[in-house]
Amino acid sequence: MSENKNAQAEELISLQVVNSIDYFFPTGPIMGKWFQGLKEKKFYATRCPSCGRTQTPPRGCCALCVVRSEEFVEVGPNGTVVNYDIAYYASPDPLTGKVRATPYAAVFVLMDGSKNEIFTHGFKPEDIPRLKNGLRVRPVWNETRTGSIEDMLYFEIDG
Amino acid sequence: MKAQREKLNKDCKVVPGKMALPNQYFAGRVGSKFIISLRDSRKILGVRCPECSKVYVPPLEYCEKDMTRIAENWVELGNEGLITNYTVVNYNDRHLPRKAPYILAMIKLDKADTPLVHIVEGIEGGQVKIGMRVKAVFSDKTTNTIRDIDHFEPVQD
Repeated sequence: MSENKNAQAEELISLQVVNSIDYFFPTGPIMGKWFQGLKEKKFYATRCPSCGRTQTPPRGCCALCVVRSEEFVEVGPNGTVVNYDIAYYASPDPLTGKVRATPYAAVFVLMDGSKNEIFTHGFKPEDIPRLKNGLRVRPVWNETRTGSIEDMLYFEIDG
Repeated sequence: MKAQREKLNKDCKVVPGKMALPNQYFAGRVGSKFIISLRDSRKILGVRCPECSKVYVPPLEYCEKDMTRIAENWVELGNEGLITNYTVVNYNDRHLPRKAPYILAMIKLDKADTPLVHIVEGIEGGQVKIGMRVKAVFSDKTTNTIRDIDHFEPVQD
């Protein structure tokens, strides 16, 4: 008799909602010029007037000397791999459940023309088996460039 | 210096973005019963505390005053009550239930002790008076939310 009483499952109400938040990121003049450079297939960096080091992506101030650095120079576009990470397991995207194709790699590249400063971006997945320190690399550009970080796809082996 | 600033400012750009936040909200066992009663029976239910006799709507599982578990003590509250407070919403946002201007009021149903917040229609914002009698109008299309009550409207004397 008590089984009949509980036979009808208790209905529970829950709501699934996807809230969408619009935001705007103002780049300022320095990052704005950097994005413009990507659109033109160039890497701009700011050079410190005190110690001479370059920074890309650029900042208005040298991170070591804390001196205003607004002189723009070009670096790269090619460089040398000094470090890299290869990811073999990708966490699923919490929004879509999709998993990024693995393995994928991030490379730390000493851009031609910079003293010790490193720029990081992705690496061509097909070239990962040949990835090692000291490798010469060049950027692979997106066919459509709009002045965003996606204008560059990844680095590939130069040579 | 100024000319250099102007030269730099031409490089400023604004990058728009959109962040999606998926969210799941569970009404709870008590909340679910409340919503289901609105949706299926078109009745507003509250819960009453046997210790202090306070009637809560929307319903709670535990009495706030003495922590008695009150989740099983359902009472029917009827559909009418008095406005205890109100505001006129004057701006638009895609998350809001109505186009501006619209009236939001705290309504104390006759048999309840706590006010319920809902939309009031059928009257201009400037004519709402605290103490006005209003009654619930239920929705034709239900959504498993408090909006299964569509709005409250003034009771014609």
